Order: sequence, then C-alpha cells, then structure tokens
Amino acid sequence: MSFGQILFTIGMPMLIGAILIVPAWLVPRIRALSGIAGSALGVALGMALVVAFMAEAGVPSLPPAQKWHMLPILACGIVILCPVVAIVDGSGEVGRWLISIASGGIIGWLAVFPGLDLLGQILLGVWVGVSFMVISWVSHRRRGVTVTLSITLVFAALSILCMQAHFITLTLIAGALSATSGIGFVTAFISERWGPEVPVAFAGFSTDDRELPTRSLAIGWGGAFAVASLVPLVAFCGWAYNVGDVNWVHWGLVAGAPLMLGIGELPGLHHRDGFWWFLVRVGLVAIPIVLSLVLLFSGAGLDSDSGSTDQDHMYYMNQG
Amino acid sequence: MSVHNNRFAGVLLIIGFLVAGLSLAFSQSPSTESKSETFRLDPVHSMVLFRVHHQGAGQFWGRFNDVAGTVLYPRDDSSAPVFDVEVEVSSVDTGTAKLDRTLMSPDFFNGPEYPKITFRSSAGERVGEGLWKVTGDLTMLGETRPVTSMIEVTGVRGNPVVAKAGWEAVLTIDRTDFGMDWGVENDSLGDEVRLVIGLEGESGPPVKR
Repeated sequence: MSFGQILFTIGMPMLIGAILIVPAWLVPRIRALSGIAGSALGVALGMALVVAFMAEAGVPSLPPAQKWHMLPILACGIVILCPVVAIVDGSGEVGRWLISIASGGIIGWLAVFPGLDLLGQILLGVWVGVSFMVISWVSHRRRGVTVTLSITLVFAALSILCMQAHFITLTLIAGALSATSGIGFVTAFISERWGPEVPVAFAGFSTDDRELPTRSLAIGWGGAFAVASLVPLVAFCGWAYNVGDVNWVHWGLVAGAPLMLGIGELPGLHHRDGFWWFLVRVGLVAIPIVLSLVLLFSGAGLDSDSGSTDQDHMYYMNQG
Repeated sequence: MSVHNNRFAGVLLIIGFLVAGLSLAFSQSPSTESKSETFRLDPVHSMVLFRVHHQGAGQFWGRFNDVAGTVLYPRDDSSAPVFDVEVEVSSVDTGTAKLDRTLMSPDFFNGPEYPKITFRSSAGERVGEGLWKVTGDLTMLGETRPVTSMIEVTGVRGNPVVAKAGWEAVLTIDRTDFGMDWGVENDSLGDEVRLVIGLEGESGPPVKR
C-alpha cells in the first residue's frame, strides 16, 4: 500500500468532510438553518465510506457482487436519510424510537455478511437501534468536542482491528471514517473555543440544551444516526470477514464503546463540566477500546509464525 | 469302445483350446469404444501454482495445496479428459502465513464468502499425442468465466484394476475478470495471473488415506 494510495483513500474523504462540516458548523448563517448542523457529520461520514470504498474497490454494483459491497450502498442510504433525520431532530421520544427501530430493522435486514445467521442479523439490528437511542440522547445533552473525539477514537480502533483481521479495504474505510470524525472534532473544538454565538437550529430544545453555551454544537440526530449505523456495520463486517486473530470480544468491545458516552450523562454526572470531566467522558469511551486492543495484542493478536509484524507483511505485499 | 472314447476326448480338448484361445484373443484386442475411467484427484500430489507480477518488478509465486475432484479419462488417450476440480481457498500458501491470511481476505480470494474455486471442463480438442486444448468454466469469487488451457497428459501407469494418471495445465487469466481488482489500478499487483496446475489422479476402488 503506497503512501499516495493511503493519502487518496483517507485524504479525499477528509477533504469532502471538511467541505461539508466546516461551513455547516462554523458559518453562522448556514449553522442556523434547520437540519444543516445536525446532518453535516452524518452526511460526511456516509460519504467518507462511499468515497473510500470507491477509491479501493471501484463503483459498487447493484445487487452487490460480494456481500460486503453492501456497505457503500447502505452508506448511500445514510447520506440520503441523514438530512431527513436531522430535520426531525428534537421531535420527541416517539420520533427517536421510530428512527431507532427503522434504522436497526433495515440495516439488520440488508447487511447479510458471511456467517451472520438470522440471530446475528437481529443482533446487528438491535445494536444499531440501541446505539442510536444512546448517541441521540447524548447528542442533546453533551455538545462540543466530547462526542466527536470519542467517535474518532472508535473508528481509529476499528481500523486497527480491521488491519489485524487482514482486511485492507475495510482498514482504510475505518481510517477514512476516523479521519472524517477527526475533522468534526477539530471543527467542534474551533467552534467551542472561538466560534460564533449561534445556537444549533433544532426543532425542539430541551432545558438542558438551552443551558449549553451557544458556541457549542451537537452532532445532532443526523450525526447520531450515521454513527449508530456505521460503527456496528463496520464491526460486524470486520468480524464476518476476519481471517486474522480478532475475535468477537475485540469487535464487541469497540462497537460497544460509543454506548459508554451515556454513562457520562447519567444524573449526577451530567452537570459536571470542565476539562477533567471532558477527559473522564472520553476516558469512559476509551476503556473498552483500550481493553480490546490490549486483549488483542497481548493474546493471539500478533502471531509470531513469520517473525514479522503486520505492517511488515503489508509492506512486502503492497509496497515492494 | 475305448477308441471311440479317445476320439470324443480329443474333440473336447480341441474345442476347449479353441474357446480358451478365442476368449484370450477377444480380451486382448482393442475395443472399438474406449472406456473412460474416473480418476479421483490425489490431494497430496495435486496443486495449483499461481504467479503474479509484483510492483512491476518481480514475479511472485504462491500455491493452493488442497485440490480435490475427479477427471474422467480413458487410459488410451482416445478422448479428452473431463475435469471437475475444486480448490480450497483456505489452503493458499505463499510461505508467509500473514500474507496467506491477507490473500484469504475479501480484497483477494474472499475465503469467508467464497471458500472454493472450481473448474469444470466442457470440451476438449486434441492437439497432439497426450496434448489437449481443454475449455471449461472457472468459478472464482462467485464469477464464472470460460477459460481455455493446454493440458498435457504427463503419464498413465497401472494395471487393469487400478491406475494413476497425471495432467499438467498452464494458462493465464485476468483476475479482474473475476472481480479481484485490488492493486491493479495503482500497478502494485498485476492483473494477469499465470496458473500452473499439476494433477494426479487414481482410478479403481477408493483407498483410505
């Protein structure tokens, strides 16, 4: 894998992400429009997956030639539906439950990976649904950099797992998703530190939302919808196609990491702010990630049959 | 009386010799229709080697170790061998275990989704003695494409009950025809793949290995 190829596969989605996220989150007039700020990260993540896939594997066909080629098709659906979900953001608990059930049901039904039986598909659907319930809840209670940094870490960890699973394209896709989330983190950081005093234009604001500084922004239901869909999708796909030593515990810990964001918003913790509490919240997400990677690398993750690291072997295979 | 009996015995003896001679003659004469036998491929002595251009520089070799199937073939080479061959993707062997795993991934042979590569021949044309041009369907990554290969019968040996026969094929395919695109666009791995296939089969009652 050449440096130019990595730059293209990860850099192009980053660039598209920046074009979508930076104006939506930093330009007051655009940010004030209903659904724009709440869908920017979600659309950027969906497009990141599609662009990274196309950079590596070409234009996906319909029906998909291989089962994992369903990923970019589902990502296209996420890109289309994200603005819709963002517009209905704040419409109430019924709307949130409906989106959760619909997204979980559709993804569980369409994502048929090898070895994923009916029970596995149900598990994937439930995972997506629960993830949306938690992340959308958090997105209204915790604005700013916490969520975006956590998502960046989760996708970065998925990229490492994919590499250990010997799935090069999915490694780059997860890398592109992490890089795009990173753009979201940097933009959120700039917004919070120096950004405009503009509230995010959601249809409904809870009391908690109004308490938050107007410089802060949220990933919104649109962003939550994309993250809740893409994290389990990449994890289940990686698990299904794993030919390395990455087992379901490693994938499960990382795919479940975003749910830890909910702990930081429980009564008693929600109103604790400041830098250290920011670190605690991100740290909660990092705990299962670190545990997964420690288990992987200390256990059967790096076999020593060839006496070389995965990076060495990727180099031999792809670089020369 | 005794003279009569001796004559009768002599006639019987002559008839016996004639019957035995004729049956021996018929058993040794070439049959007008040669009979094809089913040769079960011997996984120990059958393999598929592949070669691909790496980074526009060296030729990189790998092999598949688990090859199974049958070959329908007459020992006298009177008709084309009919191949029905299956290759286990998980048996890919490059000499580097980590690279083998990468080749099993969806970027290459996609072992979890398509665990087998198959070849089923459909026609054969004689080119020379023990040399056939065989056409058939190669299925890889769920894509079936017609391929043609020169097949050399490398030898037949055995007795009337069991026999061993060997075949060798050399052919070149474009892996992108089967949807294996990784590395072609940036020229890190070539599109053309040369296959060298060595098969050995055994006819007769199955033997436990």
